[in-house]
Amino acid sequence: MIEIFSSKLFRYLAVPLITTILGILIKSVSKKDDSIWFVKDDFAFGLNMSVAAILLFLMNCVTIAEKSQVDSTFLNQTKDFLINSSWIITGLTFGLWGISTIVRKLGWEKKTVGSAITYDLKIFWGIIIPDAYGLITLIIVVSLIGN
Amino acid sequence: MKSKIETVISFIAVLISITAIIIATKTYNSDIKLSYIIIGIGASFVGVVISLFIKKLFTPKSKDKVYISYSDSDKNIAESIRRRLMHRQFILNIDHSNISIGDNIDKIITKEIEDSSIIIILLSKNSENSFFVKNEIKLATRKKKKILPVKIDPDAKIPNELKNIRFADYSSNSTEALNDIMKAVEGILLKH
Repeated sequence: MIEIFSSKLFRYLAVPLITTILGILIKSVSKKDDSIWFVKDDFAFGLNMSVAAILLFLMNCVTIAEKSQVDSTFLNQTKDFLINSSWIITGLTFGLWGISTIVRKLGWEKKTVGSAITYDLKIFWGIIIPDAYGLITLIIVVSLIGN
Repeated sequence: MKSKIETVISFIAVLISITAIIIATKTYNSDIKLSYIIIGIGASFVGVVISLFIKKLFTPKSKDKVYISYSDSDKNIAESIRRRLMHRQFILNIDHSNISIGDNIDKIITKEIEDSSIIIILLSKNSENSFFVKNEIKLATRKKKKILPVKIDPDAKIPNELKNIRFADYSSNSTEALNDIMKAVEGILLKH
C-alpha cells in the first residue's frame, strides 16, 4: 500500500482521476431530483479542484511547520520552502479569484426558453478554462508536496 | 468600462498565479514534467468518462415514452419541456417536425401515439389552427392515452376533448408549469 501511495503514477494519474470522478458525481448526486441526469454545470469542477489544491498545500505547510518545531535539522532543510510557501498560497488564491472572475464575466450565456430566461455555462470559458486551471494547479501542488 | 477592467485584472491575476507556480516548481526542484501534466489531464478526462458511465449505470431508465404535440410556432416551449424530460432520461417519441417528405403522416403519428404512455399537448392560438395538433388530440383521446394539456397562451381555447382535464398553465408561470409537468410525468410513469 505504501508503495502504491508513494508512486509517481498514483500522484499524477490517480489523484486527478479520483478528484474528477468525485467532483462530478458528488455535484450530480446532490442536485434536485428534477434534473437527475448530468447538466453542463456538473462538469465545471475546476474551481473546486483549485480550492482543494490550496487546502492541500496549506495542510502540507502546517505539517512541515509542526515537524520543524521539534527537529532543527528538518527546519534547516525546509526553511526556504516555508518562507516562500506564503507567496505560493497568495499566488494560488489570487489565481483562483482571477479564474472565478473570468467565469463570472465570460463564462455565462443568456438563454430564452419560452418566456423563461436562464443562464447557461459556456463550454470554453465556463468549463474548459477553469477545469484546465484547476487540474494544472492540483497536479503542480501534488508535485510540490511530493518533494 | 468597469466590467472590462475587472476582466483584464482577472486575466493578469491568473497569469501572475501561473508564473508564481512555475517559479515555485523550478525553485524547489520539483520533479514535475510536461508529460506528468498531460498524464494528469488525460486521467481527468478518463474520470469524466467513468463518471458518465457510473451515472448512466445507476439512473433508472423508463421504458415508457412521452409524445409532445405542438404547433411549429411553439417550438421553443416544446424544446424547454423536451430538455427537462431528457434530463430525467424519459424516452421521447418523434413529433411531426421530424417527419420527412414522402412519409405517411397519419401512419407515423398513429404509431408514435400508440407507442407512447403520455401525450403532452401544448395549447396556444397557433395550435388551434394546427392540423397536426388537432389530429393528435383526436388520436390520443381515441386511444385513451394519458393526456397532459399545457396552456402556453393565455387566450388559447381548450378543445372540447380536453375540457375535463386539468391543465398546466405555462402562460402564467412557466417554472411552476414545468415542475407540474415533470411531477405528472413521473407520477404516471412510476405507476406503470
